[in-house]
Amino acid sequence: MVPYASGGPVDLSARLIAAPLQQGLGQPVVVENKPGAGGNIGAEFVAKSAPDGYTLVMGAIATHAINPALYPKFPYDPVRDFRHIALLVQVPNVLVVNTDVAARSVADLIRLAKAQPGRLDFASGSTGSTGHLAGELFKQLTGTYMVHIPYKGAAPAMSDLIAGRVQLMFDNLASALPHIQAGKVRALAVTTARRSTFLPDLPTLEEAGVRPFDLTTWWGLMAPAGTPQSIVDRLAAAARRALQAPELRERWRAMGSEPPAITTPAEFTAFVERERQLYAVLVKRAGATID
Amino acid sequence: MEQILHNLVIGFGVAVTPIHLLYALIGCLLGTLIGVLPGIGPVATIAMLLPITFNLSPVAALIMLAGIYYGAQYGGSTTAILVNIPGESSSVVTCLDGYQMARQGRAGPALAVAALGSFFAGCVATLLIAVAAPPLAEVALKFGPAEYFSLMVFGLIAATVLAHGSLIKAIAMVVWGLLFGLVGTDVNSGVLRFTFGVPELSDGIGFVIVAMGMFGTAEIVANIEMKEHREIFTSKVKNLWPTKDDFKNCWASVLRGTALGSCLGILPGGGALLASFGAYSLEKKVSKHPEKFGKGAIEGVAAPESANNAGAQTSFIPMLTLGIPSNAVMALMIGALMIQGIAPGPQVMNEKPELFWGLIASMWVGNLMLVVLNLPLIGMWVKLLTVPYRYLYPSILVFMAIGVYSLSNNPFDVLIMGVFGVLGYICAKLECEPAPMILGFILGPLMEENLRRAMLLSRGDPTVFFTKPISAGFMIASIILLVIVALPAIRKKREEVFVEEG
Amino acid sequence: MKIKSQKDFWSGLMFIGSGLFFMVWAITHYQMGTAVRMGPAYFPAVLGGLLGVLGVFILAESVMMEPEGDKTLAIPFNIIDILIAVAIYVALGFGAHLIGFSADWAIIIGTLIIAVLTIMYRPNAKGLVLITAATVAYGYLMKPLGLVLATAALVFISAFGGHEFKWREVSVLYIILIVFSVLVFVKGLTLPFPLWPEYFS
Repeated sequence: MVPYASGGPVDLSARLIAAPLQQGLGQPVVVENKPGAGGNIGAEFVAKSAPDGYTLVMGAIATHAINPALYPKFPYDPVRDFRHIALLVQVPNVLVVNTDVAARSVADLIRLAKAQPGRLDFASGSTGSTGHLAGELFKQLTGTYMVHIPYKGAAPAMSDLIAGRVQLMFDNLASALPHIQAGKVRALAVTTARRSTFLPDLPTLEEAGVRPFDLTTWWGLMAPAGTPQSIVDRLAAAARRALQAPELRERWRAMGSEPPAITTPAEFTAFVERERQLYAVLVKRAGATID
Repeated sequence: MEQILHNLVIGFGVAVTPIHLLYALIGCLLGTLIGVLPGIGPVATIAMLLPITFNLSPVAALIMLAGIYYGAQYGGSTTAILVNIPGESSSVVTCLDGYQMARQGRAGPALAVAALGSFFAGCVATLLIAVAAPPLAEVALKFGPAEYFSLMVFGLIAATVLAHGSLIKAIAMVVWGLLFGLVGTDVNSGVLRFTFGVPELSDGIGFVIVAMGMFGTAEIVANIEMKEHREIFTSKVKNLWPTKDDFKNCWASVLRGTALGSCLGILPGGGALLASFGAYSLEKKVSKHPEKFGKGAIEGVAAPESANNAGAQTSFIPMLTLGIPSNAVMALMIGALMIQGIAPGPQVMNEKPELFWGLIASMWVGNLMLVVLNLPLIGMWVKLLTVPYRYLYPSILVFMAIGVYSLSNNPFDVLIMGVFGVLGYICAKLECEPAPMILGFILGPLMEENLRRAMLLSRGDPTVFFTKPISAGFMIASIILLVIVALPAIRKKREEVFVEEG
Repeated sequence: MKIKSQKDFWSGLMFIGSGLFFMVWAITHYQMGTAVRMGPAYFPAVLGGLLGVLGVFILAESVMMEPEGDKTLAIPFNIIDILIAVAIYVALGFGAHLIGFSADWAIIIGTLIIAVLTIMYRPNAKGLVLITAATVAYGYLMKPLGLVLATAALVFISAFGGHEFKWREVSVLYIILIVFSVLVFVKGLTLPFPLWPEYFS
């Protein structure tokens, strides 16, 4: 079950991994979309489904870390209502600025922001997205004040960034990469703790002195709580094997995702818990709510 | 000039290879099919087919997906004309006069004009892309929130021209549509509005659902109630081809529609569908017989169809030159390219000319294929109309229901379609027209989003709408248009009042 | 004061009602903000107010101006019927909540009850109600009963809403439609619809 509409990155990766999973498990794997409410409808549906190992969901950072803090009445617990099988995709975000902005490094940007508080606009794909919260974290850690301009999706946000109507944005690496390489925007840093292999010359935000900063956009395979351990292990093994397939790795790289370091279900659960706590704090401090 | 010819040669060389022709054909066929089936649109289909494209070369993949996209435009107008159900948002306007033409037994000419007008528009648009893609893309970038808002204000006022009944009721319907469009998550603040705790509403009410309810269901019910008229409908089928007069009347409309569509299609976000509405309004305003509109004026089919096809083709421009998608379909195309390892952006034109020009050439080829495919089908479609209605309408309902349900596998969507069906019925009985409401529905959230964003960016300075040149232009045009539209209506009312008193 | 145009009269009321609803709901639930920094309530409130004002104008017109053409309202049901229908749904909704069956079943049962009532008491409204009931039934029967039965409901109920209903004709039509649907949508486009009721799979 993909809790988003067809065509998005989560949906695409689900369809891509369906075939190798099918081979590994010896059973047909069907991808079904159940979009709505930022992914909550699909996730809730699976959380309340029978834990027989036949119904799975692509749980994402939105459905399992951010939304619980964002929505006031949340219908499930991201940690306790699920068995977390395998983290499939992890994509770093990158801080990009418009080429006319007089900043060539993170330090420059911070200086600029402090010199003119409230003059800089930062764009994001939507209120409560990773891009938005990364920006809020940045503001807090650097003590700067920038105005948040939300858009309906990363594409229009990037469009206005290129045109110069906003000055900076935290976008995920895959979608920003072509524009960076074309010289339409300038990349200043990545949001992960480790440098990205795609832009090895780009410093991390932590290296630039903004710490702690380790944000990624991620999603992975999950099942309802109560699914027997044997089934979880079998699915996890199949997922691991699927990720090894060479052509899959190629597609994954095209999405900007490095192979995740977390490989076992237990680690994944711990990861989800960590992310949930991190975003609970972030969201509250940013004052973002969806009423 | 030489450069362009050279590029076109490369392009055609790529496009006309048997394998690419085959994929173009598959794309067009599939596109027409899903365009005809109400509810299932190009976005869902392309998404489902994306995995298949991984095994194809990038060029073949793009050719097929593009074929699906503009094939769906052709197909969408077919249902709009035949059964008053818009397959795509831009086919809504075609319903207005196209369906009326079908009721008069002129479905054949309507379909033919739609196909030919679209073909002409497609050719022109393809030419435009070949010649002026990068500069056009730059124009697109100049459109910020202030400009979009002004454009939409202009579009809304033009929408009131759509009405052929009471002007004030049309305006009320537009406002009502605007309000319905606001249901869902507010972009600028993240607040859920008017969702009453129902999670399915947090992304708003889907356009397809509203359109099918208000246009489709309402029409079916209306037809059932008027059983005698239905017989007249099908027995009066005249010739299948437009008459000489028809051609004479609509060649100018096609030109105007193409021009408008090409301009508006470039603008990311809602440009292409504004094109068909705008083209219709324009036609009505310049026509010597505006009262014919809404009752089967062939110009009312030719112009919007040309506009939406031109818009569909030119909406490729921002995607191909800048890597920015103008709508959901383009975003999927970008996804397809990225999975192939190609990063869409300015370099694509230079580094992979065979991809860029091959796609453009194949768009032309695809347009040709569609016209060749669709014209003979007209006979078949018209035959279909002669099927007794009691067989036809359950079938239409089945397709509509499957289409809507397949959107997100949620029965709630079907319920909403039912609700809007009842609403459409009531509105029809009250003589309140659905077309302005649909336009308001689409434009409402966009207008608000851009208004607030423009204010945010200008730090609360409302004069920004008049200080930026493009925006000011549209605002002034809006005011002028408002005056033009309102003046005759006001004059008429004053006459009526005087007559009453005298 | 005579109502010169019934259609406009009720249109006006409809607009006033909706306009007020949107405006009041927006103001009481969301923040207005200022004209300079608009909150989520601003746009809907303004538009709701505008709609209400337009409604007043239309209402005024309906009693003052002479209309062109026939303006009597020809709906085969009246306000009481609408209230009864709403009451049925609300009652079933509460019942569902209290007893514990899902809202989906409440909707299906409510729709079927209204359909039957319409056939018995308001045969002229058969068209509207049965067509709507058929589509709603389709949507809500899909998951519990599968495509085959849901389509049957849709075809037979909607055919019943028409003027001629011959069992053999409708059955043939149904078979053609279900075969087509399965071939094109389930097998061809691989849409994930369950074919049969949940018990059997």
